[in-house]
Amino acid sequence: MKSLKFDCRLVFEQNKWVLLCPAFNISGSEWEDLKTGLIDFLSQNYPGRHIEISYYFDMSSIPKWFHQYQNHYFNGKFKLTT
Amino acid sequence: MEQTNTKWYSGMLTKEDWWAAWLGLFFFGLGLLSIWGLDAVGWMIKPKTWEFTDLMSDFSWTKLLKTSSKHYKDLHPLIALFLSYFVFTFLTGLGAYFMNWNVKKYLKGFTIIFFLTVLMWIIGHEAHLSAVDANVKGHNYYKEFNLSWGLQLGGGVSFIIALLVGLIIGNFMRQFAEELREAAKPEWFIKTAIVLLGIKLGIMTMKAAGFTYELALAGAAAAFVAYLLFWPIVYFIARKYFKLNRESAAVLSSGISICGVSASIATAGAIKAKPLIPVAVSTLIIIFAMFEMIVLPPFYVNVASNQPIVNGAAMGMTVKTDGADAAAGAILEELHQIKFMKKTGKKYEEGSILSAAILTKIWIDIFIGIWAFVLAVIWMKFVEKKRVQQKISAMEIWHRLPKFVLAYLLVWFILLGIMYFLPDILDAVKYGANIVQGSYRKFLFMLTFLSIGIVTDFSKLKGMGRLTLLYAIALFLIIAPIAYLVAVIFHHGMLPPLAD
Repeated sequence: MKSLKFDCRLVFEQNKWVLLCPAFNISGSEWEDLKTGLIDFLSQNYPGRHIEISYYFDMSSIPKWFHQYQNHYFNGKFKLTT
Repeated sequence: MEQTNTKWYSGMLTKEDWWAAWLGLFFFGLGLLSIWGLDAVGWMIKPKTWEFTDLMSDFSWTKLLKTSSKHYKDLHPLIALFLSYFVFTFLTGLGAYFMNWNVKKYLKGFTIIFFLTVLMWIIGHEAHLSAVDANVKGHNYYKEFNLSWGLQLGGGVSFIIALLVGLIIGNFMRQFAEELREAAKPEWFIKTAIVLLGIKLGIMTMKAAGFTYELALAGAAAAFVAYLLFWPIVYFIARKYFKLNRESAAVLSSGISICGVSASIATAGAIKAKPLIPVAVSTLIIIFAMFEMIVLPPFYVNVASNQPIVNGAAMGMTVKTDGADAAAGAILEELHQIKFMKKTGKKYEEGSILSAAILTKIWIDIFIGIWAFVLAVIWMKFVEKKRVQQKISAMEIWHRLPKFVLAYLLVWFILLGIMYFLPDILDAVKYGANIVQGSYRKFLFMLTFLSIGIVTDFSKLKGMGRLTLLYAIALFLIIAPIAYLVAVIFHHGMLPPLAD
């Protein structure tokens, strides 16, 4: 089974999570919605693959003034087989 | 502009936290040039105690300001003032440039903040406000100035004046406050000052090693124990009685229990809460921190004037945000010093009570990243739906670790190394180090007080009734009493060393 890896940027804009990947963008109003949307999209478009998505939160989604208190929101990784 | 933390070294030139470390280390390094006989820091201005009628009868800048060391005693105070302005403006402006701020707006705002700060610093040293009627080291400035009356508020009155002026600007001159906002960075200024406080810790270790090590260890233990008590209690109350959802309850619990805004953002990230939640909670934290730093220092000093270290440690665990905690610690120390001077004619080692407040906070700051990581794992395993395999890296702890803490510890360890391995150069090191941790640190504190006032807007509490009530109950009925109890358990009997 072939493997695929994506490095994506995660933003929060207009009250939605948006995952910006090189080949696609996925959004969801809740975190669970984002995951559901991602699984559905990958299953349809990349069937039969091991997929690893590394995401990095973009701090520009948080008001600049708060960066002086904490410079990091979260990064993470999704792994799934479609 | 994209701002992601993808590598361990991400943000080294673009984040305030790193810039606090760089600036603090730069000033420390500049001070260390005294090892080779070079005084590269003594040109920094500091205020002198002055008396109003004396100044009016014969005005001279030399009555108001002086340089920080005798090497520069012939430098006119105004030249030293502008030299100080240019150095601070250049260095912080460089930071603003690399952090991609609006440099033009920053320079304009910082110029106003700089000179306002100096003005408040000078006003706070008027003898009727600051001179204390006590004999210390053969001097009684109250009597030397022939005062018929005086408020006897000590050097700390400068902090209060700066804070009040900041609050007036922030709440009654909003347009002006907005213009200053790009340069009003209390956390950046205080983090830089805390790095310099690492020098004080080093110098204190040279004088009283046992006390300093005990202070550091007791601070770590107290912070750890207090946090394990705070968080679950606040979370339980938020869920059970205030019916907050899991995310809001967790973010609020961290905000109230740990280190305010930074902890609430770290927790929100760990549990993948929408960023709107920590932003709302942060507003509460910042405004309440203001009340804490005004109310708690005089309260503690009056309730337990013979327990300065317990009071300092309790402050560190109670007052949220590094800036407000350090500010409250500075006020607490000044109030204790006045009481002690009047009673005994002696002073505690400067910075020792403040260090008690800072050390507990430093451990809490370190703890934030670890706690956020633990929460993230708990959330992934027990709260989130398991539709896809998720992983988080231990690198998250590093990304959330406040980097200025590393610089604070590094400075302390360098001085410890010199103390143990290069005792011959100790006096030369102390010369420059004392200037940096004195005038430079105090000026950064002054910048912090003014900036905290400017950025605190009380009108933002409107519409946050339920959260405000929960915050007030948790803070004053749970956090403050438990923090004090824990501070008593771990710091009871510890007293600051006496000043030379």
